[in-house]
Amino acid sequence: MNNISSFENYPIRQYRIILAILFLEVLIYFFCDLHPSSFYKNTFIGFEQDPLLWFVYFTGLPQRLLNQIYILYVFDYSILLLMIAVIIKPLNNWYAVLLLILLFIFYCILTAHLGHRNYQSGYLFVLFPFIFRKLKNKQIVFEFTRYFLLFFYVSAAFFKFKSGSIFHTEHLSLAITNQFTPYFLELSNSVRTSFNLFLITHHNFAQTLYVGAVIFEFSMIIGFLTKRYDHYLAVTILIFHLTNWFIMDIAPVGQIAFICTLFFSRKFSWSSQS
Amino acid sequence: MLFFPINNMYSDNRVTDFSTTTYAVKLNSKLVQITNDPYLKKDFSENSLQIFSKWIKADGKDFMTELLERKIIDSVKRISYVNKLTPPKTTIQTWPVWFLSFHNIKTRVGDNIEIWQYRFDLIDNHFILKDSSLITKQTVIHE
Repeated sequence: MNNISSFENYPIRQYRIILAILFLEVLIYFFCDLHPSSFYKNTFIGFEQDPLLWFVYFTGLPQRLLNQIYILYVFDYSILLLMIAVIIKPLNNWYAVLLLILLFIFYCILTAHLGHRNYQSGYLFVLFPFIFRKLKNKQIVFEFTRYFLLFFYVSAAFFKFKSGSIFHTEHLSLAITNQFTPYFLELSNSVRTSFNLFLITHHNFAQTLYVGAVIFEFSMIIGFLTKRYDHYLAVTILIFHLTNWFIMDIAPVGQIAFICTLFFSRKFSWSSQS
Repeated sequence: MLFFPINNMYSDNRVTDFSTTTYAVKLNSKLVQITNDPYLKKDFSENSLQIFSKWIKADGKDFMTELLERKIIDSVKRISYVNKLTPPKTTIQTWPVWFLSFHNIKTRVGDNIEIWQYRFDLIDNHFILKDSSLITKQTVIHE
């Protein structure tokens, strides 16, 4: 595959940690009954403004797949086996290519049947560096995905400034009004539903949290200037997402491995070799 | 777009008051609970049920139907696109059954499946059920 000297340059242990986190996320999806075979005979689809999904569904491939239960079982097991294979052999790019193709098809199916765009697409991006064989290519692609990740969060802060929502006292209270409605219907009360009600009725406190979240998101801009603080940025974003789950019932499963690459950015990037 | 790193979640607010709406499936008048499911399953159930209910309320039309009607004049081509990019009409009957099987609930001939919309208002710091309306109802005719 590669000569010994270049092989030693690969941060294999760190690759395996990231892939193991990804595997855990995939297992969570499977545990939650969200895997290809669970969509068997589900004919309801809804698309938003994402032409990429339109093209995939225009081929008719997902629709045909969802009528073949045995192929869907093979699809399920292939994802799990390939996940294990990439952890054992993270430098085998073909395992990563196959896994990425399967997870991409799964992402399209999940998003189409969910009916709206899923922001948790990090489980695709995290695999991008692994589909390349040469160390230098992996490093360049990692750089690309790292900036993509940073921009994703910085843009979120930018839009909140641009829309003026950061200056609107009732913004978060209104935005979270819908987040826990099924819990209220089913009387599944918990500390989270109580806190949700508290934030809906205490606008200033809620808005303080919102401004804090925008600052967290905007802090990602530091990553454009230096990699030195990437592990702090990773912790910041993980706290941001954990808080999001608590306050808004939006969990980042599918995004965590991608965020965790920031812990190893100096190992993964080309600058560490220079 | 998937490969476009723009994220404007919660930057604009479409909610203008402190009332809220949710949807639920009932089997033989008994509510199918989703909030005890693992997070991702609950999230998928909630969102897809909401989109499905809105699709029924809009007489089987959605963003894609309207986009294709607007952009593609050639009717043959448009029908081909509609067939691939929008749900078939039979989905109105099949999807509620799929939803129940997704929650490991088997249906039998004669079972009644209903989808309801519930509206809540914030009164005295609590959400109080304001009203409910039936979105669709069907009887299972074969297992």
